[in-house]
Amino acid sequence: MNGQIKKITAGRAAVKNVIHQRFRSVVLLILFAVTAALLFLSSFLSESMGEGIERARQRLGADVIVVPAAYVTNVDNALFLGKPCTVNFERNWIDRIAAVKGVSKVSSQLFLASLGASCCDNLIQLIAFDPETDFSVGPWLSEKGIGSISDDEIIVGRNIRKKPGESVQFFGRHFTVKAVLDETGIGYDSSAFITYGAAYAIAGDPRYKNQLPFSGNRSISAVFVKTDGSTASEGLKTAVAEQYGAAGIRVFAGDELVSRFADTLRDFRIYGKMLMFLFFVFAGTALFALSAVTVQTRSREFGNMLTAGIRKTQIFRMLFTETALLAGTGSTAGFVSITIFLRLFDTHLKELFAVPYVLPDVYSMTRIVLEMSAAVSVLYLISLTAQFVRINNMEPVSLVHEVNG
Amino acid sequence: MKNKIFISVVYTAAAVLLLAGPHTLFKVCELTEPPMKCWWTVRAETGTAVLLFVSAGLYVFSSTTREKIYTSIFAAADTIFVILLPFVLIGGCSMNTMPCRTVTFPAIYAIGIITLIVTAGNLIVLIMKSGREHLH
Repeated sequence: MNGQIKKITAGRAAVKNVIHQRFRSVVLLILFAVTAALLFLSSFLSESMGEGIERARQRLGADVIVVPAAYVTNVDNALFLGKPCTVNFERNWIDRIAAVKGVSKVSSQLFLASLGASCCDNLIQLIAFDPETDFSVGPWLSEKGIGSISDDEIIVGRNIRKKPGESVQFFGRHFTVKAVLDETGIGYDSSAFITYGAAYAIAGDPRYKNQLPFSGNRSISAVFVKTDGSTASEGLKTAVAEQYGAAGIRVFAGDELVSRFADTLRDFRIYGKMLMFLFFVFAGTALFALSAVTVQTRSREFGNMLTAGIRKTQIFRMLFTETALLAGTGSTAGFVSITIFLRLFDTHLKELFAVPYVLPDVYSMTRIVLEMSAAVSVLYLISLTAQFVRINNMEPVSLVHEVNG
Repeated sequence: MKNKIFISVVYTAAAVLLLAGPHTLFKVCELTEPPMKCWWTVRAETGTAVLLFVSAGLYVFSSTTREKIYTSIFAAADTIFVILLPFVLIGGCSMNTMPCRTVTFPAIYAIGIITLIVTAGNLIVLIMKSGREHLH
């Protein structure tokens, strides 16, 4: 039998107290966990939306977008929410817009809703584009070293679970996946990109004569425009609108389409911060009260310790360790739980908010975690202060009297 | 006794959610002809849910620590399959925006992870208890 008696340190005593006082420990764990989770959630969501809106701005690439007036909502939903639509616009608008003063580059895209896809029983947005002139997807293709795609190849968005080399079928045609687009946070994630050649072949297929609003090779859905620098996007938008506004088109500045999401994000951040502040005050108050009551109810225990010759600083070190254990474990559990939740329900959250949404990068995540840790540390200090004040005001003599009756 | 009730309730709740959840709270994709992969996954989860019910019953009637340990190991293995069925073994639709991918499978993973964490924690406690009983 081991006759050695283990030395009781403040740390060991703290661990034993945490295990022994289960109810109090569980309450404090939950308080720290919920606080950490809510702080992280609020910051994470607003950072994800901010990142999504910025990527949307970059990915659209256009200073001005021209769409048929009758299809404004459809194009908007297709671009940002990935809701499939088929939009019919005369191809000669490309040349007409290109001729406007201040225009540097023009490109077009054709939106075609699939009838259903072999990958999934849901409509997919097919987007026909010209790899040589496109400045939404084109730059991404160049970055990846993809020069062109053929009529039987396809580039799929992130949400379509296909790998390069696999085959998909749309409108009875087989396409080989050439690449998977990086996450964009907008409708492109749920879209698939094909060439105009493939799109017009589909349109010309007699099987789909009555199902598509156009045939032949004269259709596009939207014109994307870049300014030559001599005028800002708003100025170019005004110029195009003045020239062709009465011809049944709508003109948008690229920023204009994205800015309404920025307004949503701003509101979300304001309400989020208000709720966080209120919850923080509530948690701080609850923690302060709980800590003060705990010290009061354990005064007999502290009286015994003081009587046995244990100093107040040692008692305080034990409480410091107890609270650190609970704060550290609770906030880690809260952070891990909410991270798992956000990761699992990532796509559902994107659909719920209907705002461009992309997971933040490593630096932003690190900053969010540090902010959350700082906030939890403040709560921890509040708890410690309550305990320190109570213990410091304790008179060993009166406690000894109490202990001895 | 408290431990028996708590663990049995966890297993029963997980089983109920796995049985009824995909058809109510976190609905799987609509049934089509032929059925999509996600439907077969949810069908297979019925089996794992029934096994969790069995685990709950066995745990309640376990009288020794060893019996509880064996029941917990069985439940842990079953829970691993709860997670593997949608993740690897059968899977679901090929579009991330389909209901099975956005809601049903994440909910199943969450149920599986929580049940696994509770079971693992309980196993640690039981093994330590068994070690102490063995010493005495």
